[in-house]
Amino acid sequence: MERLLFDLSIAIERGKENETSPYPPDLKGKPGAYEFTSRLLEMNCPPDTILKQGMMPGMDRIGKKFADGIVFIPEILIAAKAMKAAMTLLKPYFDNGAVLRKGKVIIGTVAGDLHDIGKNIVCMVLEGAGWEVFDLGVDVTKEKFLASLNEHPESIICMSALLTTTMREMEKSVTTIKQAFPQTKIYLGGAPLTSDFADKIGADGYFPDPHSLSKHLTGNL
Amino acid sequence: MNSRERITRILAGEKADRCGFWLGNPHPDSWAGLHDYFGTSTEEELRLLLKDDFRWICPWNAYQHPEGKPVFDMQRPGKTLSEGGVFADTINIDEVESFNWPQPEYLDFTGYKETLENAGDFYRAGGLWSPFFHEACDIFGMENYFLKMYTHPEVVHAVTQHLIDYYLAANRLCFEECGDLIDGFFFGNDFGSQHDILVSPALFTEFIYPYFRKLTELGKEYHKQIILHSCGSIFRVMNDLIALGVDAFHPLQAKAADMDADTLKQHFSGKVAFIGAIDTQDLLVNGSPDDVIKEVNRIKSVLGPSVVISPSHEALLPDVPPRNIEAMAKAVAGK
Repeated sequence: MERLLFDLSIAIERGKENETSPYPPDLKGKPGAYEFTSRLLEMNCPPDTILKQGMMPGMDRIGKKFADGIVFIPEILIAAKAMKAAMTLLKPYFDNGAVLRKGKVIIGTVAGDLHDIGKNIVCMVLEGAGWEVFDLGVDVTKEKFLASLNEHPESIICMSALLTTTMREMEKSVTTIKQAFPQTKIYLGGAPLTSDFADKIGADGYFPDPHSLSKHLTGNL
Repeated sequence: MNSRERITRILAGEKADRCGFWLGNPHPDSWAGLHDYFGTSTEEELRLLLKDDFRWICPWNAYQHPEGKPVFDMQRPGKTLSEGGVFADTINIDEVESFNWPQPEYLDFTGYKETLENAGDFYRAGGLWSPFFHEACDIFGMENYFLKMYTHPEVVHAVTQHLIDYYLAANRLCFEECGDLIDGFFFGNDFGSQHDILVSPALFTEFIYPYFRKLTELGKEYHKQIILHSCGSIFRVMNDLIALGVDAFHPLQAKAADMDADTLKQHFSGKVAFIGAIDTQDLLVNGSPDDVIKEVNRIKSVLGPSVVISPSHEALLPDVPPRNIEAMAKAVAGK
C-alpha cells in the first residue's frame, strides 16, 4: 500500500491524470492519479490516508519546486489537473465526513482587477494541501467577501491584486472585513504587494508564492 | 542630434548626446489629470513639452473587415486571462484549420502611413503589435494554453502557426507600404511574472522561439531595430532573445526578479539596449519628485548611454502623480 501511495504522489507531481492521458510521454499507457486512487480505495486504504500520504505530498513537492523556480505555471497546472481527477473519487468521503479538510479559505481578486492566474494557482495549491477553497473569482467587492464570510465565518480570507490602483480597493476590503470579523485572518498576494503594505492596511500577512502561504496556513493550525 | 537620431543610435549601441526619454503610453484614465497638471490639451503637445524622443505608432485600425469582424474572433465570454476562448476544448487540428483566420487582404495602411509621415523628427516604433503569445492565451484561455503545451502540443503549434502567419503577412505589407517611415519593429508579449518566466525554458524552445524568430527575421529583412516588450521577469531567457535578434528590451519591470538595473548591466551590458526601468509599482506611485530624480540619475549612470528612460510599465495608471512624471522627464534632460 505504501508503494501505491508513493506512486500516487508521483503521478500527481508529474501531472499524470489517468491511464489515457498523453502526458508525460514516458508514462504513456501507465496508470495515473485516478487509477492509483481507485486501487487504494479497493484495498480499503482509508481515504484520509490517500489524501494525506498520497495526494498532498505530490502537490507539496510540485508547489515547492514552483516556489524554488524549478518548475513553472504549466507544471503546476497539470499536477493540479491530476489531483482534481483523483479527488473526484474522494468526494463521497468528504461529503460523509470520513475525510476532513484542514479548514476553509475564501479567495478572490479584488474589485476592479481581472487578473486571475496567480489567484487560481493559489487555489490549486491550497486545495492540494487539504483546504476547502471558496473561489469568488475576480472583481470581488468587499460586500461579496463579507457575504461569503457570513456563510462560512470560520474561513481565512485571501486577496489578490495586480494593479497599484486596485491595491487601494484591497485596503477598503481589509478594513471592512476586520470591522465585521476582527478575528478573521486576511492574507494578501499579487505582483506589486509587499509585507509592509500588508502591515500598513491591517492584513495579517503577504506571501509571494502559493507554497509559502500554504506552509504558513498549515503551520498555524 | 534630433530625437530620431538619438534613439536610433542608443538602440544600435552607438554614442548619443544623452539618454533618451519615452513617456510611455498613459492609460486612457490618466490623460485628463496629465493635461490638467501640464496645461496641455493634446497628447502630442504633452510629449513635446516633456521632450519625449519616442513615438509608438501602431496600426491598430488597419484591419478593416467588410463586415466589421475583429482580427481574431476569440469568442471569449469574459476578460480574465484564464477565460477559455474558441479553442478552449479543441484537441483536433481540423478544428483549428477550419477556423475563420484573418485575411491580410483586409489590411489598409493608408491612414497609418499618413500618421507616420507627420510624425516629425522622432523615433518611430511601429509595425503590428503582434502579440502571438497573448493571442494564443486568449484563444485557448491561458490555463488551457499552458496545459495543451503538454497534452496537445500539435494543436498549440497549429494555432501558433496561424497566428504568426497572419502577423508575418501583415507586417510584411506594413513594412512594404511604409518603408523607412518606421525605425523600430516594436512588438509585445508578456512572458514573465513578478518572479520568473511564465513557462519553462524548454517550453520557450518548443512553442515560442521558432515563431518569435520569424518575427525578428522579418524585421531585420526590412532593416528595423527589434524592440521587444515583455512585462515581468524575463531574465532567464534574455540571452536567448538577444541571440534571436532583439536589439532593445522594454519596459524592464524594475521590481521583478533579476530585472533591476544593476543585474541587467552585469549580464547584458553591451549586448542590448534598454527602454524603461523607472519603477511603476512603487516609486512613481508613492515616491516624491526628488526620489524620482535620484532614481533616474542612478539608472542613467548604471545603464547609460544605451538606455531610453521610461516608466517600467508603459500604461501609466492614474495613481501616478503628474509631478513625478515631470521630475522623470526633467531628470533625463539633466535639469
